[in-house]
Amino acid sequence: MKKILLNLLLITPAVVSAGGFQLNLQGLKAAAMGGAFTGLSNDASAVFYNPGAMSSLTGHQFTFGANLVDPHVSVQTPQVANTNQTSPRATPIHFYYSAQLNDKFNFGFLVNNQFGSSSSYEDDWQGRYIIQNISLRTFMFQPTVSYKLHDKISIGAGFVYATGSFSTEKAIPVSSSTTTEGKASLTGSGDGVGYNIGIFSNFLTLENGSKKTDFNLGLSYRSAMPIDLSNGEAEFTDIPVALQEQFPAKTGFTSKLTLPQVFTAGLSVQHQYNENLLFTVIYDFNWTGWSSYDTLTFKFDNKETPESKTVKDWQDVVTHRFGLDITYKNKFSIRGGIYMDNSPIKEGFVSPELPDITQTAYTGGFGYKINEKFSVDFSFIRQSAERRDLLLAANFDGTYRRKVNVYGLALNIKLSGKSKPSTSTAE
Amino acid sequence: MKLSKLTYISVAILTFASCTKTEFDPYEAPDSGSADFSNYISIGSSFTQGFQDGGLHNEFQQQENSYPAIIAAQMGVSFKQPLVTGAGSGYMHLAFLNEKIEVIKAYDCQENDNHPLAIPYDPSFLTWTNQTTTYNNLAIGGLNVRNVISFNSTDAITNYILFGGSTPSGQLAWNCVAGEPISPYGRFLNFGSISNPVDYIEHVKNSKATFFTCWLGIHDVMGWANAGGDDVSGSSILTPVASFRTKYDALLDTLKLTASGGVCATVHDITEAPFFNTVTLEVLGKDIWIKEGADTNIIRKAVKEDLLLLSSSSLIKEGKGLTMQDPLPHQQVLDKDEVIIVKNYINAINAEIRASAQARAYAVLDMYQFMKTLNSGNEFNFDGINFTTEFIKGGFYSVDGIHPNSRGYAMIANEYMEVINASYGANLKPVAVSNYRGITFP
Repeated sequence: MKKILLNLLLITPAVVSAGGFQLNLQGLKAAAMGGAFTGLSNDASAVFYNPGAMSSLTGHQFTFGANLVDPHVSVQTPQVANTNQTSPRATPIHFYYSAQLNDKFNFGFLVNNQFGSSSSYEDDWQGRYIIQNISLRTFMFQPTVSYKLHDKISIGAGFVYATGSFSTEKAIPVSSSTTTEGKASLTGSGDGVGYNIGIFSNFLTLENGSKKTDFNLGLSYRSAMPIDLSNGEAEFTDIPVALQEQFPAKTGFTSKLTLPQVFTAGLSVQHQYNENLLFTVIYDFNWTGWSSYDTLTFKFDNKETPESKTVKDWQDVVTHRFGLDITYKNKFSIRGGIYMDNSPIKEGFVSPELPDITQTAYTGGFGYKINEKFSVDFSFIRQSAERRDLLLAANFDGTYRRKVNVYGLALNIKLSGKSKPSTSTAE
Repeated sequence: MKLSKLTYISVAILTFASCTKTEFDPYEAPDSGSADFSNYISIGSSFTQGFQDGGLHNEFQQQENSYPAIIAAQMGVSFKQPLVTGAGSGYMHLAFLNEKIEVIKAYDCQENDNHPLAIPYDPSFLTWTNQTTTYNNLAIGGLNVRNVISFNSTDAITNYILFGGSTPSGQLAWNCVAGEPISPYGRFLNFGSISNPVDYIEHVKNSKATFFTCWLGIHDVMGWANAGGDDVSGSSILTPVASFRTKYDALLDTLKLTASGGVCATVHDITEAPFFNTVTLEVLGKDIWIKEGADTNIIRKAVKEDLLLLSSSSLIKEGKGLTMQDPLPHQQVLDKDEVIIVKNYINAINAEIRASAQARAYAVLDMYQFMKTLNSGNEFNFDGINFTTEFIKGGFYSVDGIHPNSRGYAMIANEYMEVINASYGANLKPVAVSNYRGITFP
């Protein structure tokens, strides 16, 4: 399995998704329900969404999921009517495992891609001095423990180890009699640590004959994660001889990227209407501390190479996520949701390297429980938005049109463990 | 049943998936609004002809991308220019010598010690003229407003000798060849003969322009200023303001016969160009002795208000100006009083340009203000390229420190088009500055 994961790592380009470069695709029930799951977390993706909710999972539960992200982005400027991004499709993955150790403790583990972004353009496009290609990939590994404080309340905490790799290319506006422009290619990788904590409570249950309604509350907090890119490598090509002191063929660089802290409060209501029908409504209030993305600085080992500093000045954002699940005979589920995503990028800072847009996005999905051991989930996310902004630092006036379809497929496996006093949140 | 459900779902998904068209429609064809671009003519001096790096050259489409040619391309009209081949008139360039970037002057027939790397004129430049073709770009390097029309025979002959060629002394003739004009840049026009000279304005009239841009007046002051504020030749006096206005009026009256629209640009403050601001006391870090221009008997230490010309750099390296006994010659300094004369003169002729254009309902491009903003010392950006007006590194000016490079001209073209759109309801699209060349580094 490790090998498979490594292979996936290699073939997984990260992707542009809304909400900065956070990938809100970490569980497919959640993805289908507007990304809300913190106040429900009734499958192994609880390890990510709310470690506190892991305590309600019985036995050994595994989730293997992958998304196919199909981005379409076009840019219009006052000078050029249309430029299409050539960004590749991306396939972020996630793996979750939760094991019930005893009545009080659960152990869990996750591997996923929580952040990522990639934008590509033809090398000769108008904004090539701002960006030609950029790609950020992250991988998170998180061992987690949860503890049941009380029948109604459980808590959980995980240690996160994150790795990140980054690459970018852009043109340098210097020409010689044999070259029209130079090029800078930067690649680097690094790692960092953080934590993920959560609390979950099935705080109220109302019963009325065969009808039963559960009210659940969840809170989760994922810490910021500073990733040090300490071993970056910069290559400069097609540089006129007279400028090669500033732009040598090769030099090292260092940089730092802080992945933001994320706080989520979630609420869900599950209503068992009759033997066959279970309704779930869910809401997540999501706060992401994007103000951590303040400046992006590259310091070069070669003293003559000017430091590259880009002011990002992103802002913290709130996302509202709503979802609905209707499950029939505990076998077929149909899900839908919306989320109101606020862009962390202020007016005057939208760059073609990541044209993020405030928008309302729609989600949907299905679940099918094949038998007691296996179930599958399918999810779909649709984003479509447009934004115009003048990137002040570059004087680049762009109108960005983005349409993104995300298709997700996950397999859940449940191996029986010790049976547990049932709560309706346990699947 | 199950199959048909699957089909429905598949169709729904495919329909959704196909909704991924994000392309923007192409821009609509240019609309001239109330103007008529069908015969666009440009009038001006070196700045309009496509001159940069101290020469008219075209090995990287420098002349081809003159700002009026850029405007015409955006108008979607054909635009004929008298294009030179390759090195054209010869030009200044940069070389990397002893780990340093050096400016190599263009080959100059009047000098005995031309740099071995100096770029001479292209052989084809000697026959660069086809006076039977009608050109849209009528700009001539060095053209003054006072050369546009002659009101007496002395003027007419002077203009003829300047642009048409006759038998001036070898030293004055371009390329030091008797029979050549003093300025080689107008040879695509027929200036008649010395006994029967043809005025520039005749060519303007014959062009039957329906629309024009005009950026004249720069050389009415620049010839004087670039020579340190001294009348070194007949061509470099400050044109008297009254005469400037009379001739500018005559030019616009001639255009008014056929052109329903046009834009007249004001003259920028040429003393802000790197040519006057690169060799400074601050950079040199030592006292420099100068001869004042107004009274050549006065020798004094330069103060920071005195502008040492870019061309003085090599003299200072040779030791000139370091002692009172060996001051910088007055032609190499625009002294502080002369700077004021130049600035006042530019303001005066700009007032005349505005008044003359407005009286004929032509639009005015405030180039003075535009260049003032660029020259303010702040960084400015286009398409992610940072510019300053610093010599060489800045990216706006060419190697001569006076004329913009192709990127600078693209910015200027965009300014014109903005005025054209605003004044005539046209919809010309700006060009991407990044698509033009900047400085060519060694």
